[in-house]
Amino acid sequence: MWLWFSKLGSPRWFYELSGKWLPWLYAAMVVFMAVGLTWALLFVPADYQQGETIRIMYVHVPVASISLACFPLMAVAGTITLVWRMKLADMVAKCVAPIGAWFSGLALLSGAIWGEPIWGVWWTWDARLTSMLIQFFLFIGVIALRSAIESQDAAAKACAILAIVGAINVPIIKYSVEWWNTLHQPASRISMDPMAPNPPEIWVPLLIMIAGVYLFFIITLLLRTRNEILVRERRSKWVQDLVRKG
Amino acid sequence: MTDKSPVSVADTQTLTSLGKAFRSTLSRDLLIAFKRRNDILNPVMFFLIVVSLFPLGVSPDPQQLSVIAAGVIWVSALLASMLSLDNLFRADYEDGSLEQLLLSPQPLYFMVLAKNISHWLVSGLPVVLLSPVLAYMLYLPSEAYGTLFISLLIGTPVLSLFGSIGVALTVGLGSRGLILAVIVLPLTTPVLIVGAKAVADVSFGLPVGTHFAILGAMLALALTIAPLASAAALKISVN
Amino acid sequence: MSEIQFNSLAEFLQMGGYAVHVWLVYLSFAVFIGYNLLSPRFSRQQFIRTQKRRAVRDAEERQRMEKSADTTDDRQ
Repeated sequence: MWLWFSKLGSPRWFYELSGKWLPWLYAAMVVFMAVGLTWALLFVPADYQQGETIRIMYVHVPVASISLACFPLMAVAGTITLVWRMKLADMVAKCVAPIGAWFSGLALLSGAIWGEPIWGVWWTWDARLTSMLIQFFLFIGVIALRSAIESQDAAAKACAILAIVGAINVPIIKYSVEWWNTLHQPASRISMDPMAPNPPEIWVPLLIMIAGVYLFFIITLLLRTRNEILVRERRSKWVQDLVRKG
Repeated sequence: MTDKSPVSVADTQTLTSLGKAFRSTLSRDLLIAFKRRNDILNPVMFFLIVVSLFPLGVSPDPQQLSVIAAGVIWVSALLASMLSLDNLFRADYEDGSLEQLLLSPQPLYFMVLAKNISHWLVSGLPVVLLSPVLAYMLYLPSEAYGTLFISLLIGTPVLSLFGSIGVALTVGLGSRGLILAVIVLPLTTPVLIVGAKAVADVSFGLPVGTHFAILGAMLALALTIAPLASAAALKISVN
Repeated sequence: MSEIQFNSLAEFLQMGGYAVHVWLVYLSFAVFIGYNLLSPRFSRQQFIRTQKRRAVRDAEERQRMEKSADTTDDRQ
């Protein structure tokens, strides 16, 4: 177990292993996305309340749910950086932040577009949208802190602390925003509750899309982390050999 | 093992020295602050100016102002505490006494807490004390005064504590600019939400016991976590 | 699995009157996926290019250094 752990911490080993995984991940992503998107766009029956806008759910829900996983992941990677000083964990933490900002941004955009037919406006201070907006700000803060500190080691530890504090704060933000919103709830023309009992022809394609977007998340995280490994290890012999070949 | 003194005596000794260090840090910071009076006056003045910009920018109409009064005062207090935070560790960082503090045998948690308390006493408390005057100027309903005062009294220390994490993370940076606000403001949204909502709810005649309980819980959480995080961040920033 | 919900391509594109909403979301999803898959590839290529250039420059530098070292040796 410990051997495996320290091996996983070796950037070169991770680079080579992830290079072997990537084709399979790409293939699985293409399959899941192709099935999920075709199903969502062509076969899902229009909702009796929302009409065809139900198809937006198949982008919004996967992206939003995965964006919620980014902050905890960053906090875990930060903890590993602080406790075991594993370089790889910090590289992952650094690469998750912009991806989390992208996912939050798309979740905000698609949520606002989905909400327009429901609320009649392109933006509303709905609880979910508001807490997603604040989460987006938190990612921007982590990215700003990372770029402001020049020393790589200090930046790693500082961002780890900010990620942990932020991860503690995320649920507090979520609950306080929900609580704040109970009185101000805008009159919605259509109820929008993903937890409502749905027939399988609605949620099976949703699960397929979630799997597809998760695979996409893993792929883009691996691509960014691999680049980060190359940049940080550029003086080592194996990277220089790789550059000569590539 | 030459030291044969009972453990309890050793414990009380460290406790008293800890208390002494805590008190001396607190009084030293307070003394420095009183010598530089501008540091006390600036956040209050900033608070006063920002709040008085709203009638100019929105409208002098009492009805409109009384609706936004609670939010305006809370947001201005938040911004004032953000701006005043910059000198929480800065002077100590520049003259090297922060390094001394980090090297001292006392647990850093209490030293950071002492600095936080003294900072809140000179920059947060005046804002709280001035808030009823500004509430009057913004036509806040009179039954909401007490709630505003108490919510700010519990809430501003939380803002200071969260802010100190951000300051500790950025104290070593040459050009900080707005980065402190970008890092800290999103973290403080729960306090703003609960604090401003308490004032708004009491104006509607709703009970606000829960609000104070939540603010108190946030203060307890901030008191336990924030000095630890700030201490860890200071160690990173100074080295 | 249910049947295809649309009778014609035009109907599919109209999305029951919500064409702007649905297609805007799917378009931004495509941009999002495309950007996040392509930009790491570009920055990787960029990295390899700059590293190659640096390697060439370092080699030239080393040669020049060796040459100048030779000339100083001659003078002695």
